[in-house]
Amino acid sequence: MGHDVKKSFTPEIVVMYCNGAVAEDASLPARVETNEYKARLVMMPCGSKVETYQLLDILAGGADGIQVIACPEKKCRFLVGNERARKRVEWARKILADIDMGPKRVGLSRGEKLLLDDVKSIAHKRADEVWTLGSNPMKGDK
Amino acid sequence: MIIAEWKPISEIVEKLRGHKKVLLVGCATCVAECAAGGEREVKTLAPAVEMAMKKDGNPVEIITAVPERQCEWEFIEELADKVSQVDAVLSIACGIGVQAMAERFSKVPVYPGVNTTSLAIREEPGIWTARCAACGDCVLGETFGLCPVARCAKSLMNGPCGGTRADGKCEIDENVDCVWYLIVKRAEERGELDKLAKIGKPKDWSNSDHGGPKRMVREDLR
Repeated sequence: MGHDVKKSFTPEIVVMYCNGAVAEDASLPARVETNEYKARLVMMPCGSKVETYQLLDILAGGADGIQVIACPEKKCRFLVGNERARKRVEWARKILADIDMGPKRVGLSRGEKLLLDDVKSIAHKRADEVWTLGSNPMKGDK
Repeated sequence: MIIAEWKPISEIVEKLRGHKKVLLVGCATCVAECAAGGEREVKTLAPAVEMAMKKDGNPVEIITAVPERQCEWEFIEELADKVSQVDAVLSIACGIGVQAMAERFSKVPVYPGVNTTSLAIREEPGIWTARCAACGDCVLGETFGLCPVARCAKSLMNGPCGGTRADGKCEIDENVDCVWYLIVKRAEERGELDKLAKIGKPKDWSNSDHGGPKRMVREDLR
């Protein structure tokens, strides 16, 4: 979308990241704010802690987008946690498509030993996707 | 267990249009096992419907409840307080639960949020297959524990038909077993194939749906 759309609102993104996907000394803050997006960073002990209902509840609460960060395929320390995360994100995206909210409001990426700049870059990409969808119509309801 | 699946959310939105506050009620028994109407599904559907209704221009407030069973009066009585706060109920229990709610709380519209489809078993996580058709005249004793009524596309009593694939699957779907193929195999394994050649009594369909609505009475329990 064009530049004007980007200026029209600042996407609020929730980043849910697996602790195993970031570097041990990453020490990520709880919030990140840039000129282009605001992000709340939530650490999870494993990608499998993501539930579809949490993703939908966060969006119903007004967040513009959610980025889940899981470990690379076959590198989950709990074996299948990152795979469960993928399936739950896909289920959420299907529901979002069904209700015309835009499946791109939720995304999954994978990584390991990520640092703050990596996470910010991933959040920025989600914000870019969200810009094309516009602000969450649920914003301000809860 | 009783199996159900979500109705399209667009259909739910259509039904709820005009309502302002809705009780979304699940059931912690069968539909929880088939991942259609348990606590997790209630928590998933509630924000989805809220968002869909808002997008539709008809915002609605949703409150939730998940009784242990929606098909027993004692359990749904606990919902009376919540029902008194809403102008509609969306039930994601099986058709029995929906009707129980509609009977107990007859002044409030009760809408089904799922389609009840079958009596099934969980084959593996995420896959359920029908195993019983509640036909009222069980023949499992003659068919080596495999139901030809629920599991044969034609409900044949004398299969297999010509539609069995070479790999033992049914012609209707490559993922569906031909139950008569399985019956014959099991009979062979037991060395009792001759039992299938025996002429059986005609199946009595009078105790199935064809005999009208069922009513079972046990005087010793009344």
